Amino acid sequence: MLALRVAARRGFASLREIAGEQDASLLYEPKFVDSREFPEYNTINVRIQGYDFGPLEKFQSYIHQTAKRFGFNVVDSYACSAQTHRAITYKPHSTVGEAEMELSVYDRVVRLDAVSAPRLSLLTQILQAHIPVGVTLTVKEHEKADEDYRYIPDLLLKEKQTELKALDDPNVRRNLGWE
Amino acid sequence: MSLLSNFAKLVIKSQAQFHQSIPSCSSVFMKRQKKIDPEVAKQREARRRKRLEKEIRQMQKHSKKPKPVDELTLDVKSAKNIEERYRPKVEVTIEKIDERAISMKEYTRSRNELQRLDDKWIAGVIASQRKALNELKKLDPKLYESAIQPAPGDLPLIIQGPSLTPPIKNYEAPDGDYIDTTRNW
Repeated sequence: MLALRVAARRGFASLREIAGEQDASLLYEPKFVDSREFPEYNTINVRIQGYDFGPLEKFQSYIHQTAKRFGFNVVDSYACSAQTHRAITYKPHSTVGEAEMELSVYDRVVRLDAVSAPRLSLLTQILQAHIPVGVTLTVKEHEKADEDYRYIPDLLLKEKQTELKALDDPNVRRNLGWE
Repeated sequence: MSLLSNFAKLVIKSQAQFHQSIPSCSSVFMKRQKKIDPEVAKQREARRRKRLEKEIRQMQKHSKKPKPVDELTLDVKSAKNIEERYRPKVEVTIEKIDERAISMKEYTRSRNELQRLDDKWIAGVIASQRKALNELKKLDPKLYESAIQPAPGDLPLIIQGPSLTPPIKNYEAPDGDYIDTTRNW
């Protein structure tokens, strides 16, 4: 009390005066500034497929680097199992095979985040300029199916999940004698 | 006599069939059960749900197995006899080493130059896009708003890489097929 009176007499500023006028909304929470310049896409998948996985992986790393240069966030960059085909050529006017070849279409995915909307077209432009021979590039929004495609489906787990769901079904409940 | 034995077989058979059908009777969908006390039912339901949820949780913890990526896995067959396939070491002359080092440096320089061009293009294009959008904002804020929105209609975007050769004139494609042999899971 005495100290306050002394401070007032000497004309010292109190702590509140030093801090200045404060916004009441900032009393308990800091202000979170949204640094995004443009609206953003949800997660985007860039998938590349081709018959030769050497250039494919090189291109995958190129996509990774370039995306970072555009300020996108690379969430994941992974390999998927390849699709395999058997290519057969037939002898003329018959269905007898002449030559056979096993071909695999290799599959790589780069998953991007924080993709600002106007910048995505610029990224695709530069990727189109650099795409190697015989590679197909697909840019699409991420779905759960894309994630599931990486993994072996677990039948036992699915069975249990459907069983749990079936407990909500009135028919099943009646049959169990619960209702 | 044979009639009797046939009859005996029939009896045994029918008995066997009767016994087989018992376990499937316990299926939920087979037969309506007698209605039970709601308190007991509630208890049973809770127990069953809890058990199932626990099992699912346990399975989810361990079940995520990625599909094997064949090109990245070790080929065990070739790895076993890798000793046989090592080549003898080549003695390289000093001139050759120098030459290689120089060409390596040239290559790195050329790649660096390309990367620099790319970076320049990216910086330039981002700057000019920003400038253009700012101009648009001054002219028509409505158009600007629609210009910066994500366009999900544009996706999925599919880009085909170039082919190895330009189209060959008068090329007759052979008669053939692609048979999908991808492993089914």
